Amino acid sequence: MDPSRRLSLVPRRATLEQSVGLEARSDDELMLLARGGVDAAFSSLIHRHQARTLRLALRYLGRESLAADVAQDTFVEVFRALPQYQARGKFSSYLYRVLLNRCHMTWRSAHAEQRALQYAAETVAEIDEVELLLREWRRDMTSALGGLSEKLRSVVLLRYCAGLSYEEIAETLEIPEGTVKRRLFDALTKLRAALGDA
Amino acid sequence: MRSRHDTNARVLAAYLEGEVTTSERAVIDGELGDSAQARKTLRQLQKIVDHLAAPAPDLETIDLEARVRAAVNQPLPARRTRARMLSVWLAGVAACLGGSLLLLVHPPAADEFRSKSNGTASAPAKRWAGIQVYKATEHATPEQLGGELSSNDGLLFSYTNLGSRPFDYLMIFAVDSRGEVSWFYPAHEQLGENPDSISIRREHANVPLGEIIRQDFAAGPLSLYALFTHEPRRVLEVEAWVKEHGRPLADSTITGPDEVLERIDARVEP
Repeated sequence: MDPSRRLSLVPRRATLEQSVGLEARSDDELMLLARGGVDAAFSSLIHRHQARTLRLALRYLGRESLAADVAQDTFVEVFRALPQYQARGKFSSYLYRVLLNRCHMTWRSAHAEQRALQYAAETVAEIDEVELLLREWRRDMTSALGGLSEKLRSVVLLRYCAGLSYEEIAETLEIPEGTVKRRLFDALTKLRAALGDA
Repeated sequence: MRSRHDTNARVLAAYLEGEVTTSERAVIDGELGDSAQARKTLRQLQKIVDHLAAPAPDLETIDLEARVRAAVNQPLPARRTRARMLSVWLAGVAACLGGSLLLLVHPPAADEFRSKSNGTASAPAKRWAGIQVYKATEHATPEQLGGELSSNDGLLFSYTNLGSRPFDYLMIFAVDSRGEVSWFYPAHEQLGENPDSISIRREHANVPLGEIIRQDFAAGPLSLYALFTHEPRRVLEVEAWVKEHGRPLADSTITGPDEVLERIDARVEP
């Protein structure tokens, strides 16, 4: 597999033949097929994880455009790492580790943070009261998430935005399951305290 | 110090997650029945969870696949081309038939390998790790490289990785008569990138690497190298070594101990 190869926009004959049943294949199988040149396999992976990765990135970063950029960069990184990928049944852990790292790097960018806050301020204009309250809640939520430590934030986002099990979170963050639970309960407690009666 | 209020919220968070025992659940259910504050706290926690797990409608219109494709499909320099359609077809043929192509492959003999001079590479490694090289012409069936190839020929590889301590990573590259290094595995087509070795299967023989790769070699002597390692190596690391030392011999030290460098000499006809 050539990690910097061009993704074909026109399905090749081999691709069409091998794409049958892609939806039923595991993540690891799709990665191996993609490494073998089946473009549709990687497309299937993207579609399978798109909603959760975008949602996690959005909750982390608070802005759609940033979330889309980070999710895109995450899949590009995964694609370029195809030759090195080792199929051990832990694709989700690998994917979300890459995604969290990219979210974290983006979040640390003071410029990006400032833009996100500016965006939030701009977008509260010209909307009705119900929508305004909802947006305020979302903004407060983003702020509350941002106030968590990286350790707590990662766990709560992996649990609810990505829908990972305790075991998968433990693998992703390389911590024991007991620590996952403790951090999750701490994170929820802190979020509730930060949001108050909102 | 954690307040009682926080402790209650924490217990309710565990309750929400189903991480309480049956007896704890009964106690909490009782408290929820009696305490408006407890019910409020639980509602707040549930609202947080619901918000985090809720779909993000604004993101549903994003065509992430198209964005990823656009990002991946950067223009490639005309340094080399890979016969991708043919390679996929060949990989399928190799996997399905295991015949016409793989019958040509044989386990490497001991004298095909010359390991490094420091003598730390184990004998089994020398004996059981190596590559097989095939030449693919425009219209003929791929054949084992016999020492000569034309500048239009593509190359196809398989590897064997046996022995008591098989390797984990492989690099395949060539040095032509101009001293230019060309990469087969890993691919190195983008300036500014520094890819590392490809992962290989342990304890397998004759594993095809399913792409025919065409390089723009200069006419004259050509040396193909396979570097088997236990740790990944970087392309620029190897290129720097070649630049410093010229065309490496198979008994030269490129990286570290306990690695095998195989060299196969050929000649490119104009």
